[in-house]
Amino acid sequence: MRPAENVLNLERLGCLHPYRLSFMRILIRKIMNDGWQIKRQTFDLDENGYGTAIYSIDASEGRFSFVIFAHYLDPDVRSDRVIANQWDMTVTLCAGDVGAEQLEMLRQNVPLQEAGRIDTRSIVLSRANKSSRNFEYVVSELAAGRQPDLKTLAKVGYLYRTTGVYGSGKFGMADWQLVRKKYPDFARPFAAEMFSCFMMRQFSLEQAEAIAHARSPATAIKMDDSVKRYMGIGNATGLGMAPYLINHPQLISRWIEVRETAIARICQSGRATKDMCASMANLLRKAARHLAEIATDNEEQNQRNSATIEEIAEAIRFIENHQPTDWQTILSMAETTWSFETQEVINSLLTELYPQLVDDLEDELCLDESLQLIPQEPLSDTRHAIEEHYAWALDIDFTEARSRGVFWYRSQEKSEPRLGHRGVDSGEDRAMKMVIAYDVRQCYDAICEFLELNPDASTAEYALVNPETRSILRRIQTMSRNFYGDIQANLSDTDVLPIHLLRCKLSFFGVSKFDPKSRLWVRNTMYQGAPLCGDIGSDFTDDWYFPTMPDPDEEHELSSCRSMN
Amino acid sequence: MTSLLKRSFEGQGYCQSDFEDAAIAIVWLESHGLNGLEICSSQRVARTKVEVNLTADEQNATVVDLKKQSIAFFGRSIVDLACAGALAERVDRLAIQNCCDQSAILPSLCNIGARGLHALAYWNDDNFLCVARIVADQRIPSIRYLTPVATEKGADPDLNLVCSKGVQNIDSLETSLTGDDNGGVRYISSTDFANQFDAVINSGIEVNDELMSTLVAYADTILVESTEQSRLGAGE
Repeated sequence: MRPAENVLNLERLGCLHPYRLSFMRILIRKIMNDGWQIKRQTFDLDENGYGTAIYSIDASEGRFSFVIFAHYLDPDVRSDRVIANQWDMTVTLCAGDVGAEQLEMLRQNVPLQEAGRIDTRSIVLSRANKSSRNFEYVVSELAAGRQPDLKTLAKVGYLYRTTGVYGSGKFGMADWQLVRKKYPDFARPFAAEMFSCFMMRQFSLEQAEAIAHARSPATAIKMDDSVKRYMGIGNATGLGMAPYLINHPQLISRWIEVRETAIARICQSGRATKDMCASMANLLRKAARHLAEIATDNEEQNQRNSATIEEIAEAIRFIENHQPTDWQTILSMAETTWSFETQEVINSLLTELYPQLVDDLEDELCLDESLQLIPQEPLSDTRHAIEEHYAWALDIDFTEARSRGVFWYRSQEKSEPRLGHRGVDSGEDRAMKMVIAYDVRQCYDAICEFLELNPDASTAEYALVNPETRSILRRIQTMSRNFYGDIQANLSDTDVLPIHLLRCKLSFFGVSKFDPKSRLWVRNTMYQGAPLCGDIGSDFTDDWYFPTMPDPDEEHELSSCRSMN
Repeated sequence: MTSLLKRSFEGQGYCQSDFEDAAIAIVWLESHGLNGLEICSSQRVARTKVEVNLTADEQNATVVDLKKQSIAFFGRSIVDLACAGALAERVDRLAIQNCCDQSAILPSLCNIGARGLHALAYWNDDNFLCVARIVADQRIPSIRYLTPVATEKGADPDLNLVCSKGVQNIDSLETSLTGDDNGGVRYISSTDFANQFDAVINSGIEVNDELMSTLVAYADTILVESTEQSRLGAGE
């Protein structure tokens, strides 16, 4: 497997793309292969699409309900920030059927989101806002009897954007322990959350059709399925996601290890036959088309995408001209010649070629996390572990002002994580514990000093008289025993790019089409190209990764306009 | 709940490992039917860096003076020390003086079992001699409440902890403590605890409004005032 210093580089993590074991991909395979039954039970919307909808879900092992409240929202107050308090759509995923009394309780609380209180029958709480231009455009076209233009849709590939998806016991909901034990359909990391996003996408499409029909019953048509599949659900992710990657190092390390294991298996056992090379070349072409269709105002991302497209073309030429017989040859070429982005595109695509080598790793993504002190370990061994596994942290010169230029803190506004500038912004005294590199440095210096007087001390003895170091000590001892450890980055550097952290986690979710809005937040798209609820039960080819605009000439469904009457 | 407790204790000035461990311990107690939230309600000595003294008593037990600190915050440290001895093939008794919330040692016993060690913790509360045990490789302890033997007040440590690789030491110690009072007044097995936990994760933890307000108030002290400047660049 690739070494930690290579893989855990923050810039590389910020170039990860979704791959076969991303959570959305795993979920969709399960839904399609197990034939979940998803039915619209209630669709009580007015002519503007406001009201209540409920979907029932008969999953592989349990029954659930997805409840949606669609609201009028003044466009002037529409905000994707976590500090918003009104939304176009608020939703909850519940266990079992929802009766009248529970529905009323949900109606009172779900629209309040963080300010409300639900109960353990709810598993996920979320909300979304319309992409107002796209939504109105789609409704108008459908009302007029036209399919929306794909090139227009491609600029914003969704009708709604989620801005927060909560689970794991927040606001009175079912705790993760309960979900894992009682609802095996959602017993994988973020499965319930990803499913909720899938359902929000489904509702967004049906709501648009319903409004179009209400607006112009005589001429309105339904969206063609090929167009619907091209619509995903958007997402806006900011610093709120970042602490998770620092507070759950074992889980993040495990996800990375699983991905690297998949790639290593393919390098070892996957034969790069002529047919496989041809398939890889075709997948690379698809990836290049996908990147070319990304519309972003971020000039740096545009340049990065353009460069990746060119490098992908080089990679295709290399494969077709040299016909390598093993994948390591291509990966080595990529490592020495092309950018992180291109390298990670190739890595992601490799996993698509060998499902038989990769899919069993789905079960390895869960982990019971516990940072344990190894109390009997001689403190001198702990020092050595720091020198070996945290050399990257020891290499940072924290005496330089720029190395400690920023600090993380939680705002009074909904505890939103923010970045402050040291010496400029208030809140340094309440800084979050996000800078592992600095804590490691402090711990190392203190241990060295202690060992001078106590060379035979155990870690337990040191920790008992220095309790403030126990947290970083047990982290060091635990993570240095993982193949991949902590993310190797100084998160207090003046020029740190937190969006690399966000994109790393988002890639594991299965998110794509990254559109950075600043160094602190990014818009992106989920489920673009994914099957629809109506596709469940039909033949399923798991090839919706790196989705591209459907070609209308190839789609039989796009042959004529259909009236909804 | 764990998250709120962590933030609340952080707001009260506890260091990271302390507030993490205490939050986990309290939620464990509460979700296993042992009234963990009472620890939050009681008055506590303000948290400062504790100069923990390690000495030996007449029986060669290692004496730990916790200076009136709660086991909820110190339990993991105590357990780490005990495990270090056991893993070095010693069977030390830790005699912890000047501590409170002794039942908070129970979640830390889970940690001992997870490390493949056996342990026995015993203490006197107002009514009982409490004897808690964890078996190697088990994740949940058991506890027996026994009729206390009358002793001079202050003569015994507030909490005793013995940790061992082998089970015989623990068996013989438990027998010497329980004596003829085998059944005890009450016994909660690890299965009982597991069932209690299952019930609680279904129903949730009830927190009274006053305590919730107090916890939230402390948690809010770690939040930083929002300004227009601080909002910039992080979303629309």
